[in-house]
Amino acid sequence: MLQKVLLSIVLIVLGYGFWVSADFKEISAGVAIFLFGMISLENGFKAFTGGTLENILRKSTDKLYKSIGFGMLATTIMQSSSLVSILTISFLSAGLIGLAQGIGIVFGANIGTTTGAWLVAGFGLKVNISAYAMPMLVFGVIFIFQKFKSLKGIGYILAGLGFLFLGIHFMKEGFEAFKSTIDLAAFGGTGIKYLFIFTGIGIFATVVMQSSHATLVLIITALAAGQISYENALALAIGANVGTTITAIIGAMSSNIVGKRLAGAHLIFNVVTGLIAIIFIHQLMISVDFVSNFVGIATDDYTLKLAVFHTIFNFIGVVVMIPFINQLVIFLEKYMTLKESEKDETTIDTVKYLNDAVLEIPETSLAVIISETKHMYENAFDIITQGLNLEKSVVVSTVPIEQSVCTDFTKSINIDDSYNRRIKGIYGDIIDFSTKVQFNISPEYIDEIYDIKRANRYLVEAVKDTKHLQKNIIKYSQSTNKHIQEEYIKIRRNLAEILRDINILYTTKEDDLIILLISKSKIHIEKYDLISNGILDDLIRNALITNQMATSLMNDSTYAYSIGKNLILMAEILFIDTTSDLKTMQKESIMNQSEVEQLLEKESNYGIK
Amino acid sequence: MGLSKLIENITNTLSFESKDLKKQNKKESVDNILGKLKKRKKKVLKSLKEKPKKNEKKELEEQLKIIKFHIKKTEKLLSKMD
Repeated sequence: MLQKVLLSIVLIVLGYGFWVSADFKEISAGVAIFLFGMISLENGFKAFTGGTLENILRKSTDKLYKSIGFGMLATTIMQSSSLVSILTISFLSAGLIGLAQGIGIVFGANIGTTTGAWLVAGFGLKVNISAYAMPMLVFGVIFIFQKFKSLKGIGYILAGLGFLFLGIHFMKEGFEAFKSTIDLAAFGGTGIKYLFIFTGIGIFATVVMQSSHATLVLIITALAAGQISYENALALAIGANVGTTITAIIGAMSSNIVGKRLAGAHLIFNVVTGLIAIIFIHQLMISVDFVSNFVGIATDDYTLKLAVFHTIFNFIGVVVMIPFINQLVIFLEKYMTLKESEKDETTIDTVKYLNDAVLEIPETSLAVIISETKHMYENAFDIITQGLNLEKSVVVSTVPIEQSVCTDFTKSINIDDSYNRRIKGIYGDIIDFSTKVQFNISPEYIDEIYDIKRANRYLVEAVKDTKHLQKNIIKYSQSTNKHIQEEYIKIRRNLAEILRDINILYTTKEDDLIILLISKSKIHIEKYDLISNGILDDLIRNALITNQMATSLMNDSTYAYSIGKNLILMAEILFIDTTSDLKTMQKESIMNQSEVEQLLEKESNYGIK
Repeated sequence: MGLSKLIENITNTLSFESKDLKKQNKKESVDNILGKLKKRKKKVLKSLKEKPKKNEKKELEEQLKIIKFHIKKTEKLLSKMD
């Protein structure tokens, strides 16, 4: 209710603003286009989750020095720390990197941005990446219309960048009217009070001009004209450094909580760095003079001295903040918390147990692969229960299984996204690690490795089948046709029962219970298979469902059967303890398919009609 | 007898003993599981006698069928080992 009222107020205020001010309209349009660019960029990067880009990013940012180096290099090439911050927010939102790596990149970007000051000051050179905005937009849209996922992804990234620049352009145009209000000479003065005033002006000017480089040019001009003192110019540069975070803050508005946290980290870093620079301004000035003398910069060459100052204070900022990165992450996670519903939407899960150090020890390697597969199983279990819209807490309890079937479909998850974040990476790493282990391990363990690889594949198949099933589950569980609705609820309830048994298999240590539950589940999936038990025929014969519904039900029944089958096959491999009596019996006691069929045939009263 | 022959004899004896030990272990495992299954059967039978609700009764009966099947299968496996 409160949200609806707020939305109405915002719409009214915007409408009034557009009516009274053309500049306001332009700024708002700029922000809107910019945010649209962010969404497009995030969609583009999502196409690359679990793929080459993720691997490259992960490898280039897995250590702090690497992520800082990555940020430095990227900013030096692109000559825009804002753009690098925006891209980092997109990486984070798409689940390609973690917050700590993102912070490292932002720190690096702050050092990388100092090269811009050198280029402007030393060579009068200004790299203008925004000149490519329009071509990016055109190429981006062409790529979006292509069939291949990766080309589409590139298309979204290019279009996203194009829209970002276009948005910035509109914001700049809109702020043009405010630019004339920045009269630096009017604020002339010295002392700590003026330091803060000029820092504030620096922030304002950068927000207005949407570029710290543009502010730098303004500072140099004012300094050369004698409008401001050298000390005030430094304060303006500090302000420009803080003001530049506005782009990331606007960008984070459209991103998820992880992106917002990074924007928060960016702001905290630049504010802290700015405060350090203001407090130690005199010491910094002495350092600038010392370095300038050392490299041969003339005493009155304030332009280059400004570049030296910019570099020194950003370096100091990074050096001071590096030891606090973990605390910063903890702080941001504590105060910028996820809503329960967002938790699963943003977390990227990586391997917990795999470690190349154990490759030389066969038994340990095997144990590690099993543990990692169990970890993947936990994720798959979550995704399947949520994908089927089942209440997990009920599925894993002893409460009647009917109660696990939820009727609220507003919280349905995106299985593709969950798969990319919680399965794909781990699966890839398990297969990679198992293949490495195979070369070092003695032949007696090889079969076991193959078995575990198969268990992994079964899990992946079960998740993918759930994805296929989900669409119609949402559609038909809410259908007005009671017959089809009932069948889809039955499919979910039966799968909930299988999931409950699988969960017991995962947690129990009792050998006999394992045998019994595997048999029970095998019988269960056969017994409730709609195609073979005749229910589907009855529904069609009596015209209780349409042809389209019948086709969907037939396909989905196959998917449901496959989910159950894959989960059982996985459990047979994964949940029988390698040291148990059952393992010694080499699964001879497990009920095989022909035995299941025999048992079902014998029971004439097994029909569920 | 040459040294190589002696080593071969020792290896064969050890391998035979190891196979024998494995077989013995396997038999013990099967025996163990059979015991547990029988215990579980008793438990289910007891629950059935306590007049459960209709739904519970159906479930217990299905459990019993599966348990009986596995007891039979395990006994067969055990007899093959003797």
